[in-house]
Amino acid sequence: MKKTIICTVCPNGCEVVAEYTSKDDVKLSGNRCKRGIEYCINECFDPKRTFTSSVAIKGAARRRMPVRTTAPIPKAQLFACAETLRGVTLEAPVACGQVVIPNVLGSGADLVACMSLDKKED
Amino acid sequence: MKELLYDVAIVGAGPAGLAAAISAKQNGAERVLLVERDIRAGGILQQCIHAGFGLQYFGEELTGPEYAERFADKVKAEGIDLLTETTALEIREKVLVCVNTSGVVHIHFGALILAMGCRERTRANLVIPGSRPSGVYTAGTAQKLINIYGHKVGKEVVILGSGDIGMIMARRLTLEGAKVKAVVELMPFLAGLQRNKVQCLDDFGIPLLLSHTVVNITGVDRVESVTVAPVDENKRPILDKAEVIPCDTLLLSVGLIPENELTLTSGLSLSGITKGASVNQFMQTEVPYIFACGNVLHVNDLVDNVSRESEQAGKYAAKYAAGALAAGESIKVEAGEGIRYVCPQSIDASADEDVNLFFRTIVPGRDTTLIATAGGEVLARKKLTATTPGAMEKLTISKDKLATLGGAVTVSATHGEVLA
Repeated sequence: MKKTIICTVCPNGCEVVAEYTSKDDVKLSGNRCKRGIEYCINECFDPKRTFTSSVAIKGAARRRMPVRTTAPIPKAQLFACAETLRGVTLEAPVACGQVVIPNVLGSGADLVACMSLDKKED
Repeated sequence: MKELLYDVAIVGAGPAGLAAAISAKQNGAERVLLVERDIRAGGILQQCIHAGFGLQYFGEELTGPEYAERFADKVKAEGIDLLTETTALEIREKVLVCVNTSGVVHIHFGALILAMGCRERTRANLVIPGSRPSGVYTAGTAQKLINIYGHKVGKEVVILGSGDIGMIMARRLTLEGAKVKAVVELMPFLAGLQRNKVQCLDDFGIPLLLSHTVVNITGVDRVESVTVAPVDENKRPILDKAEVIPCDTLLLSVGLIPENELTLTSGLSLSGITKGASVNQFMQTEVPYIFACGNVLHVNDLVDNVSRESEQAGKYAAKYAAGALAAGESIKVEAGEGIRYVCPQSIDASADEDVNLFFRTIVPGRDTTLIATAGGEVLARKKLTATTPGAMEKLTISKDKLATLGGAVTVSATHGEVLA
């Protein structure tokens, strides 16, 4: 199998060609550094993305809390992850890094808050 | 009226202002002030909730709000003052005139750093024909409405412009249940970063129409359709090949303009290309006590670069305020073949520090040689497998070459293969 991947690990954005027969036999060419090797191999067999979105928050100066997964999750789970968040409402105060949903969709990654929002003083 | 006194005052507490403030403090400025019109620090990063920030600066992938919070926490820890909900109106020599709910505030400073960022180009800048329905937004406005206010902006969307914010909004809207029908780009190449095309368009099967533009908008109360046409090599639409795309929303991601109204009150003039002030490698403008950094100076693609450049501004503004920055011979830096612009626009030859030149190529290409020369001497050279106007490039001139520069420095790019 042959696949062309644009590596997104760093801003270089190398066009990497992967030739492979199995997970243990992948030949990469076109990469300017080694940081993206794991990413390119994963793109062939199990593409993953960091999921980011926002959830509702009550009692803060803002109505939305940005959230992300602590690690990339399978690309196929992105829409399901967005769906999972629709019913979630947080209550201020929330600290940056606080877990919103542990092990989201069994992916092994936690969904965490990305901003510290204090309780709004009236 | 309030009178305040600071060594270094900074306008804007976005990524540029925050990094500049910390650096000014760490380089000896005792009294440092950030002036911010929003209710909190962070600037545009607050609404950039996607990941991808900090790969260079922190060596890890953060979201915009996380990146901002790290700097905002540091600002607090360093004892830097932050004046929020305050608008800077005018620079009157060494006084910054501001206004907030307490009234007019005069801030007397030793050095001033401009870090106001940029704003988006709008439909009015493009002059798109058609009716004036609701549903036409700049990509950043839509981003704010969704990510900060939690509103829905539309269900069927066309995006004009392949800038990074436009592509990021294509993904965001798709994940939120909207249908993004196309991203339309006038140029024959992508305006933003490749990785955003991969993760925001390709991942979701969103078509990218290069060498196309929007030639009409229909709808009375709400957008009903846009008409998209291919363009010829002179960027003129080929109208008999136009196609009507039914949609309720048009997002515009068609470029950013540095927000320099305040800058002009100081008497500084702006570069016709960057739309920002001209600076030397200390990020010092032609008015010696005014420094500038970040997107108000030239529009960056990576916040990591903004932070580094702003640290330079903070450091030298602190030195200037302390009377420890003497001016040396000024050498011009010019954009040569294949280069759109270079920042800084001049080099102070008396510096005892390597000089980084940041620039963009005009067209994308492969096997590109980047070169900086002066008076026939090669000062820096770099070979890259690929370059694109969407990504800023850098050459570094070693400090031991500064004293003997033979005239203006010219940066040029030659491509082994042009990709446009």
